[in-house]
Formats: sequence, structure tokens, C-alpha cells
Amino acid sequence: MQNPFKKRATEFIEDSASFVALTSPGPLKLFFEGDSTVLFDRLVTVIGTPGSGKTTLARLMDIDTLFTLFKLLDSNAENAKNLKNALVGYDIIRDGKPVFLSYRLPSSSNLRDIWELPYSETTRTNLLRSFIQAKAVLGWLRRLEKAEVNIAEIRIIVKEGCETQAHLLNVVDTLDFRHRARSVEEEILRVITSLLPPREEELSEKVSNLRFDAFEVIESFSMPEISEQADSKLLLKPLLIIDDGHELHPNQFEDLTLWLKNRDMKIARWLMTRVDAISHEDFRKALVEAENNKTTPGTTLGRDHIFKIIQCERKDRKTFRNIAKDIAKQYIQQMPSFNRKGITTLSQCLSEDSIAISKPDLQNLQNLVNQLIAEMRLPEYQIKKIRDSIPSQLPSDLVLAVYRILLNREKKRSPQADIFGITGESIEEQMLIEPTETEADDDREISKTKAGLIRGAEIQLLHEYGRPFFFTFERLADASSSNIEQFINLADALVDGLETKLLRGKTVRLDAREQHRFLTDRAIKTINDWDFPYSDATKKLIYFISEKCKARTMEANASLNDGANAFGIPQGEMDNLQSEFPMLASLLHFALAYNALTIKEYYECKNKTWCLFVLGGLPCIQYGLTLNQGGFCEGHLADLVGAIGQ
Amino acid sequence: MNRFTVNHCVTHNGEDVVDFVKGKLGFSNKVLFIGTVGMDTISLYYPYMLNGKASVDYKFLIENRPFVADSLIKIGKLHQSFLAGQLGDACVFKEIKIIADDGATTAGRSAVNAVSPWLEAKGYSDIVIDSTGMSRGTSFPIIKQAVEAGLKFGINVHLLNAADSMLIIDYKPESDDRAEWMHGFQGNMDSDRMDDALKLWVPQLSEEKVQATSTMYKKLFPVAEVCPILPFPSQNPRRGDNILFEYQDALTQEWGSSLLNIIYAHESNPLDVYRSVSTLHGIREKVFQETGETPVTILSPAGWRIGSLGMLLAAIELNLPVLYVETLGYTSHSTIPADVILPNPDLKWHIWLTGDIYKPN
Repeated sequence: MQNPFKKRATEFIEDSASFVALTSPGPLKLFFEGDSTVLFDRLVTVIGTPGSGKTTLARLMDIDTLFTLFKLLDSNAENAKNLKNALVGYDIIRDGKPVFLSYRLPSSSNLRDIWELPYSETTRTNLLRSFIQAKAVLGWLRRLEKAEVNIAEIRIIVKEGCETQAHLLNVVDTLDFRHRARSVEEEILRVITSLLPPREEELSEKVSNLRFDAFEVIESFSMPEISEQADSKLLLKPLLIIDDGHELHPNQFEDLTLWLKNRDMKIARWLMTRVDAISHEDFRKALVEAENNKTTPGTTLGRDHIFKIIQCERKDRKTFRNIAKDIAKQYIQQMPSFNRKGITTLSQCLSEDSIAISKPDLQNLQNLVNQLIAEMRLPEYQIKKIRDSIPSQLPSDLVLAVYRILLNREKKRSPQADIFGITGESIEEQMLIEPTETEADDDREISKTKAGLIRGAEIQLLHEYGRPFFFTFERLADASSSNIEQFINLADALVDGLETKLLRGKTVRLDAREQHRFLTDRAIKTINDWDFPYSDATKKLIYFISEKCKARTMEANASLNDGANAFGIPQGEMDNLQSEFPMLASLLHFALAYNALTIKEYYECKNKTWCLFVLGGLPCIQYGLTLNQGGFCEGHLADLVGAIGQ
Repeated sequence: MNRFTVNHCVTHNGEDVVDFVKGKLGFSNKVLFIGTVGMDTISLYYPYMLNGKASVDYKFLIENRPFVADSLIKIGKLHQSFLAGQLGDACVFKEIKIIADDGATTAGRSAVNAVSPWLEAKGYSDIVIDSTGMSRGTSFPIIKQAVEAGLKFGINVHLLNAADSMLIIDYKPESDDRAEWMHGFQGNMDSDRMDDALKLWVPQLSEEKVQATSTMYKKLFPVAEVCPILPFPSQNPRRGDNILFEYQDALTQEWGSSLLNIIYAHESNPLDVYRSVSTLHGIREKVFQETGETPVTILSPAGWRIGSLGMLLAAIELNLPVLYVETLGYTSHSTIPADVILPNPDLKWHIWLTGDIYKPN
């Protein structure tokens, strides 16, 4: 594999060994951290946007991947060891053996199609359940067959007290059981895919043959160990992963959830979905509980059902930066051309040194600052105080830009001073405004607050003089909206640039300007290529919000420090969204699903409750806005509706 | 069997189609004409040509999508009232839902349900499906349905299509984000038996559809081979190269295909696509018969419609699965014309699907 970044998603990597080599244990921690047993004894609804790693997780649980992992351990592969250790820690591998037998069932069109059949709801529900059970049994046995297990040697362990049902399904003879599952699957598939389905009366004659209640009886699969000791047994608990649950009809989704919540079921079951299939209340509850629950982040604990949010919140930058670093390392290590040059990480190829604006531009900026000082007629000591408050190690252009912001703040403050000259907006206070979002890495001499202001000055220089802003590995990771696929897509743009340098025999390193250019070009191209439903209107909406945010960011006194990247409306206006503006509601479903936007509801600010529409990483790059959250422009739902021309 | 095959497929094109429609169809005993009416002016072409023939019953499907620019809806209504005015009582309009409220594709199923009673009616000597302006998700299933009806009742089934390289109204489609099996064209795909099948995927490549095509690839993954079809020869000789440029990353990196796999097929001749697919499928069947593996050829029509007709013929004859991405809606900056502009297509095709002409001697 020459350049794995081109594959964008690990699900496009067919070979299990390559998949293992590229899979980072980092995202697993987010998912399995805490008491992982709850993920296997009740229904788990896994929520995440496309590219957040849902399918990769499902692939990792595949028995084929786990067996490959064991094989790679013999060859001393470092990543295989790390992965194995992580999986042992989460009890997915026990005593050197896999514990689960997983099968991923994509919802795709067939499950949804059952809803369209001209039958009563009961018939459709029964067809859906039988179809899922037949597919699951076939899928589990197929996975074992691929792992070279002789199907005839597999014994299905039946739940206590279910022997009669097991007998009816002929579970004792695995080959016969598979044959039965196959005939049910094919018969239902024939009904679904025929141009005109049979009438319900005709179907009812076959209904007894189409019933297949396997989940009521199956507890586990037992088989001889594949390698080594002939007498050793492998006992696997079946795990069903229903992927893309949002493609089901809402009633089907609800019914499926209700059915799979049944605690009598002994199989493990995950229902993976995009956020739009979940009711607002459930999702909000999951988010709130995820934020409050520190031991098992992203988990909403319930007796029979839990929600698991797979994508970490953008606020939690450090976690995602570490994940991104780990992924980039795995990917770079698969590129021999880089290895030969001793390159093992992406970050080592990305310069962290900023590039100052040109001398004429610097002079121009200096003139503007001088002009401002002259206009303000401040006493010398005050000017000195402002000047001295700026961290000394900043480059000269940035010093001037920060200086200009502080002078403008002072200018704005002066006329409003009360009779005692106290406004609550002194320079010290200005520099110590409560930061909207803290950066653990912006440290030491420059306080966290100052970092926001300096970033604001950097962004102003970007817009005025084209000074590169989107560079360094950290900003690359931040721009990925905590989405692994988006990170790989953006990183690919940089890796392309590095490969070109390598071919030309140049130093394999990108300076700030090159990084900024590659990332901006890629963000613009990706947005232009957006082809999801309502993408045209989404682009209009994003443009509208960006222009508003840009105006706030470019305010002379940078009142929001590093500016805005969100549009806030009073929370109450969201209540009428679905009924009054259905198109905007549909648009938001897709905009959220594809990381164009995120919505932060019930955000408290200025004694009001807001709903924020926060721009995703790609629009922030395209329109030159901060990647940090918190700053927003105020407005109304009607503004957004007007922006898309509904 | 009284239907077309790759070796015997009766077709007309250009002005011959006009002669055939006026000369043969215009004088048939009783004709069922199924077409569509919407924003595409070109869909008025054949019904207008047959206007005044008492033996024709006109049935028009109106495709309802959730997100269509207001101007296009108004243009569609203008066309509908034009046809109603021209054809009078002989025409029936039937609205069908392309996308369900929850976003699922229902185009094929809705179309088949709408057309079913028309096809079951007795007394027709000829069924004409006019796929001009009809979306693939609608036209493929009803053409297959009409072929089945033609074979069952022993009547002639004709497929008409017209295309114009100059668009009168400018619009841009927005694709859904789900890849779906075309209704009635899934075969055994997604069944356990087909899990090990060696998939050959033949997507028709067209402009600004990279994301939709990648969505299809994702659904099919893993794919043994990808052989995309590009339009060449074409009116714009560089069209194939331009499309290839758009797909370069997806083709060579994501799908692991190569330039040697590309099939070039005539932009305006559906039989070229039909023959290419048939030959490819036939060779694969022969080769894998020897190895004991199960080959399957999956077709994905997109973009240039004449080429898609070739895919349709291959899919019907060889029972090939068809995967596609439905169009969710259209955006447009076109203004609404004051009056209906009658089309003058530069491509016209007639394909005789079933009937006496295929009776063995």
C-alpha cells in the first residue's frame, strides 16, 4: 500500500493485516473506557457522524481481524501488540482467545424496503425481525467459515429453558440450522425485491415458514480451537452490529430498539446510527449525561439500553489530537518512501514557525498603529503599559496586530469611563477576559487568555495580509471536527505535498505557508464536492454564518478575542423549527451528519439561553475563522431561513 | 422468447424514429403511451408528435421530490397544462413519490404500483414507454415491468427516448447519500450466498458525481474489479478525459482500479454500452465457470441517459443487478418562460423491446 491516506476510510482496506497495521488503539479507548461489560449485555445505540469510526470499530470486532491480530503478534508487529493489549484490557480478548463473534449487518435498502411492502404493520414487523435473525445467523456462521472453522463442528449453546424452541429450529445440527436460516433469508428477500410483491393472503400461507426466532434461543457458539491443542474449545458470544440504523423507517427504528432492549436476549447487540435517527430528547440526554459521567465518557447508563457517542466533543481537543497523532503515525509508517528517509510521524514534517507578513505590509501596519496612537492622544505611561502587556517573544507583525487591538479596546473604553475612571475594562481586565475555550497547551508566559487574543490577531493578519494561519499538526487535528475520516482527508493534502518534495529531492518539510495553502485548497475542494442532500442550501447557510463571523472576527477591538465561528439564536425559536421551517430542519439533519455544522443547544450566555450553530472545521478553514469554540454572532432563526432562500 | 437480445435488437435512430412513430405507432390498433411530464421540455416531444392519434391512451407520471426549486415546479406545471390542453381526455396524470418522508428511496416501487393497473388493462396492441425526462429510478423498473407484461400478453413494447445537447432550462441535481438497488434489479445481491461472489462493478462515469459514485462503491465493498464506462466518441471529444480527471483519485487510489480497465462507449449509441457490458459479462462467466467461483456484474447508470439505456438492456437480458443513487431534488437559477418552448432534440432512439418482430421464423 503506497499511500494509505488516499483510502480515506479504513473500511476500504480489504486485507485484514493492512487494516490491523493502520488501526490505532486510540479511538478504542473513547469507546470502551470504563465498565466495558455493559456494552455486551444490553442494547447499545452507538451514535456518530459518517467517518467517526463506527464501521472501523465494527471491523475491529470481526473474528477475522482478531485472528489476523494473533498471527501478526508472531511477527512482532508493534501495532498489533498495542492493539492486542488494548483489547485484552477491554475484555474482548481473554486468555489469548477472542471472546466475541461479531457480524455487521448494514441496514441498507432491504431492511427499510420491508416497511414499503403492502402488508399490515404486524406482518412487516415479523418479516423484519425474522430477516434480521436469519441474516445474523448466516453472518456469524459465514465469519467462522472464513476463519476456516468446519461448520459441522460448531455447536450452538442454547439458553436454559429454550430447548423446545431450539428443537423446532433444529439448532442441534448446525448445517441444517444454516440451511433453514438461508431459506428464510432468500424467501423474504424474494418478497422484498420482486417488482410487485405477493398479496398478503398469499404470503400468510408461508408465514409459519418465514418465522425464525433464533435470538430467543442462542447463547453462544462453541467449536474446537483452530490452532494448537485439539481438545481445547473456543467459546464465542455472538455480537450483532446493525449499522446505519438511520436508514430504517422511524417506526422500524423504534420497534427494533424496543425488541433489542429485551434483556432475555443473550446475544450482544449494537445499533449504530447517525445522530438524526435519535430523538432530540434522547440525544440531549446522552450528551448531558456523557458530559457529567467522567468514568465512562459518552455513555448514558440504562438498565436495558445505553447510548454511546463515538465522536468526542470538539471541546475535548487534546484527546482527539492524541488520536490523530497516533493515526498519522500508523499511516506514515506504512509508506516505505517516508520510512527510508527516517520519517516516522507527520508532525515532524510540519513546521511550527510562523511566517511574518512582508516588509511593506509590516510598514503599513506600523503606520496604522502610529495613526491610531496619534488619534487617541494617550499619555506616554499608558501607551507604555499597553505595549508592555504584550508578550515579548511574539514576532514583530503579531506584536503590532495585538497592539492595535489593545489600542482599539482602550479607545472604545475611554469615553465610557465613570467619574472614578473605573470601567471594568482595564488593559489587565481586557487581557484576562474569561476565555471561551481553554487550550491546555497554550501555556507558561502567555496566559491562556492572551493566547485567544493572539490567535485573534493572527486571524486578522490572515484576512488583511494573507499571513498563514492554518498550520501545525495541532491546528490540522482541530480542523478535523473530531472526525477521523475528515482528519485523514485533510492530512492527505499535506502528505501529497510532502511526497512531491520527496520526489523532487527537496527537504521533506512543509513551511507554514505551504501547510496553509494545502489545507485551504483541500477544504474548499471538499466543500465544493459536497453532494449530500441539501448540500447547495447548506453551502449558502455556511456562507451566511461565515460572513457574519468574519465581521465579528475583524472588529478592530476583537471583542471576542479570536472571533466567532458560530451563529446563536434564542433557544425558544428552535421549538417551531420542524413545523414552520421543515426544509431547514431536513437540511440541518444532513449538515450535522456531514460535519458541516454542529448544534449546541441550551448554551447559557449573557443571562440568556441560546442555540448555537457552530461551523465545522472545513468551513472554518475555507472562510478563515477560529477553530476554537465559544464566540458566536447573535441572530434569529428567520435569518437562517432567509439565508437559504426558503 | 419474443424479446430483444444482444444479437437481435431492433432499433431506430435519428429521423427514422420520427417515421416509425408517425408511420407505425400512429396507425396501431390501440397504444398505451407511458411517459413523464416535468421540468424537462424534451419530455413533450413524443406526446406532441403523436397528438391527434385517436388510438393512443396517454398516461403520465409526475415525479415528486422533496426539494425542487420553485421555478422548476412552475415550469413542470406549465408543461402539464400544455399536454392536458393538447391531448384532452386521452391523458391521465399520476403523481408518484420518489423519496419517502424519512428520506428513503421509493421511486421504483411507487412507479411500479402506479403503472401496474395500466399494464394489466386488456386490448392494447402496443405499449410505448417514453423514458425521455424520466429518471432512471422510475424508468428502469417500469420498462422491466412492461417487458414482462409484453411477454405475458404477447404485445409489442417499445422504448422511446430523445435527448438534446442544448439545455433549455438550466438545473443542477442533488444526489441522495444512500446507494440503493434499483427496484426489481437486485437479483440475489446482499444474500448470504452472494457473500463470496467476485464483483465486477461497471459504473457509468459522469460529471460532478464523484461523491455519489463513491457512495455506491462503499456499499459494494469489497469489489474484485472496477471497469468504469466513459463516453467516447462524444460530441465534445475531451469529455471522457475531463471526467477521468475528476475521478482520478477515486479510480486509482480508492477503488484500486487502473486506466486499463476503462471501457469507452459511444455517447449517443446505447447499443455500444449494451454490447460492451454483454461481452464483458460473457467472458467473465466463461472464465469463472472453470474456477468454480461465482462472478457477478453490477451496473451503475449515472449521467448520460442514452448510455444508461444500454445498461438497462444488458440488465434485463442478463438479469444483472443495478445499483444507483437517487436524485433528491434540483436547484435552478432559470427563469420561468412565458410560454412552452417546443423541443427539437438532436438524439432520438426507438428500441423495440418485445413483440412479433422477435417471433422465431
